[in-house]
Amino acid sequence: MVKVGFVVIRRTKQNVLTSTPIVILGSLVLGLLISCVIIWATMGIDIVSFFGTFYQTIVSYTGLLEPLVFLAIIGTAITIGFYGSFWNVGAEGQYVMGMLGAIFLTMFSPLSSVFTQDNALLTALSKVVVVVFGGLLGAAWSLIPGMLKAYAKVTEVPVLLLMNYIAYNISDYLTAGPWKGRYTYGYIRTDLIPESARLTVIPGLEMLRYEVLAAVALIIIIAYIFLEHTKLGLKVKFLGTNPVALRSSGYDDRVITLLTAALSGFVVGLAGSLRLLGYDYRLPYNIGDGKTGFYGYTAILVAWLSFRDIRYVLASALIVASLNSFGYRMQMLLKGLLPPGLSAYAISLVLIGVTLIVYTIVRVLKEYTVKLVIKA
Amino acid sequence: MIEVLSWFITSLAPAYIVYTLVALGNLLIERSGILNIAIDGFFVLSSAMSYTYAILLSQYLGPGALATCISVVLTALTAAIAYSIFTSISTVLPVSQGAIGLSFMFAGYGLGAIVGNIGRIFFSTHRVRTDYIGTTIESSIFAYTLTVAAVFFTHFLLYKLKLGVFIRAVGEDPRIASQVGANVVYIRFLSGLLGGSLIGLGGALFTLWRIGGWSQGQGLNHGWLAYAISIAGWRFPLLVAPVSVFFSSLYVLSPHLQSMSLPVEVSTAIPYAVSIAVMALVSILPKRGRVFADPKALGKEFFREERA
Repeated sequence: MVKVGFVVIRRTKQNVLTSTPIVILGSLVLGLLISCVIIWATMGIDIVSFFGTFYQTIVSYTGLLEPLVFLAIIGTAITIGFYGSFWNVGAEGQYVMGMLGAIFLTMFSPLSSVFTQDNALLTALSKVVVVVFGGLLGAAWSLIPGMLKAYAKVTEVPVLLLMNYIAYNISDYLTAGPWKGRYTYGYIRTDLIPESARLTVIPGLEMLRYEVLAAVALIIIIAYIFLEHTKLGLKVKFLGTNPVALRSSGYDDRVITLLTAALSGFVVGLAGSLRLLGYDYRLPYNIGDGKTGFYGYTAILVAWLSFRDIRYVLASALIVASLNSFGYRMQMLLKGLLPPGLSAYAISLVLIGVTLIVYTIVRVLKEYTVKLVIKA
Repeated sequence: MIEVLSWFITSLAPAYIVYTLVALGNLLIERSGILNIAIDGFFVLSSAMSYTYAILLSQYLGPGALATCISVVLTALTAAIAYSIFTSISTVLPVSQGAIGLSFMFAGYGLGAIVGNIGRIFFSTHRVRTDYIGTTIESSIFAYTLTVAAVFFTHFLLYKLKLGVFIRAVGEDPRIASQVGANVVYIRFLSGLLGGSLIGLGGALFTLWRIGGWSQGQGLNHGWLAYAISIAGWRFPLLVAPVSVFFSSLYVLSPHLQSMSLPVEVSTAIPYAVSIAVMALVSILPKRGRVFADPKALGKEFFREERA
């Protein structure tokens, strides 16, 4: 009888093929190729149209800028969570919480009166307060699964995912109820936030805002310094790699779990409030119906693709922004060839899912060699 | 009394049976130590697949019970194969089970949309008529019987058969199980095959019975509700069955809460909130013995090089 098995051995030496950039790019190309085969087999889209559309997505870079900045911020947040073994798949919910925080402060709190005054300094400071408040709401939302994980040992992934739907429903309840706008032409949504509360458009780059760009740079730099050069960051990393050692050193791993969850949620919340102040200006009804751009989900790929290393987040965000926009571009360019009911995000999900699977496997091959053993 | 019984048979049956089957599938997979984060993606995919199978088979076999039954079986088989690939990859390679599960979940969502749309296009171009399973007393009783049989079969398999002992041993400590002769990859492959077929069966019944049609995004979150049932039932088949009554009733009754002046958004969110609360409560409760406890190796990488 023939016995077939696998032997997995940890690599002792790295070569060019196992270098990080090659692994990332190789996974991307392989993921795209497999997706191309799936899309060709199911929808008859040929390889030339497929890669032609992908090329056009990358070339028309202006469409990538907006997803790029938000994916970079949320990707950084999720990476922080990954460092501490907190699988933050609930960024969608925290993002919505950030948006809710922003709309509350700019329209329904005493602070809203500031935006009707002609005081530039006060307005600028108030914008910072609004963004930070959104971050705090994101942190609070993330602390719920954080506490359940730390104190009740509940796996955070299903809790976080279920909480996303609760966040959507809270937003919809407020939008259709107490926060329903008066000047909405019959649509169910909130009114627009005051113009003075909005972020500043960069001339020539209409999809970017000065404040958002500054936030991306600051968040990435601060996150890097925190994780690489502070004692607290080291504890977060220890929690992810060796929680037993952390406990043996006398630290309470539950507190570090809470800190990781709160930090990750805070940064996602910042993204939500920045999005509302800079792009949406109001809350729509049915927010879970793709109106968030699903950045909270898509950014998981950014974090995973970046080798859980903050330095790679921006490059990963660019790759994922291309994949994300690819689905929409495909729907636009290949109209007539695609099923009319198929959403662009479904195509993006196939690309993201397949690339993630390939990358997860290739990543293992970077660190291990797998040998097939056949014994007669 | 008759009203309650009638409600159980006709209104609750489709939800209860779907969630129970999927929860049983999940517990079979997780008892072998594989963290089943991919469940919602596979459920969405199964739901779409059964619709497309039913449309295509109705075209060639004609609408009727035969086409519908074969679609259900084919969906269960396809899901079983897909799951066995997932559990094998998670075991052969020292990958993060969370990451690979999430990857399959996303791919399942996307593929589900594509596969379902293929059926929809075929439906509109060929004007195919498909028969869905009607919620009659006969169909409900048959499905209840099938589900009860699945509950007892899963229990018997896990606690009375050698394979079940191996599945649980692999879920507790794959290295020790391997030393006493269990082929970890093979055992997890089988648990993926069995659990996947139950999840596929649940997905098929969801589309062809509970809903009676397909639209994009159908089945989203329902996999997670079944996951919550599985955890709340301590991954123990005989406990999952009664716990599922509570969750399914909650899901079926939540739209009726609107008649009590509860906003639609609140009634929609209630099953999710309760699922979280129950998962937390169950995790806090002290568990007697290893039978009810979480598998020790759940979600942990199995690195074969480290085997003695």
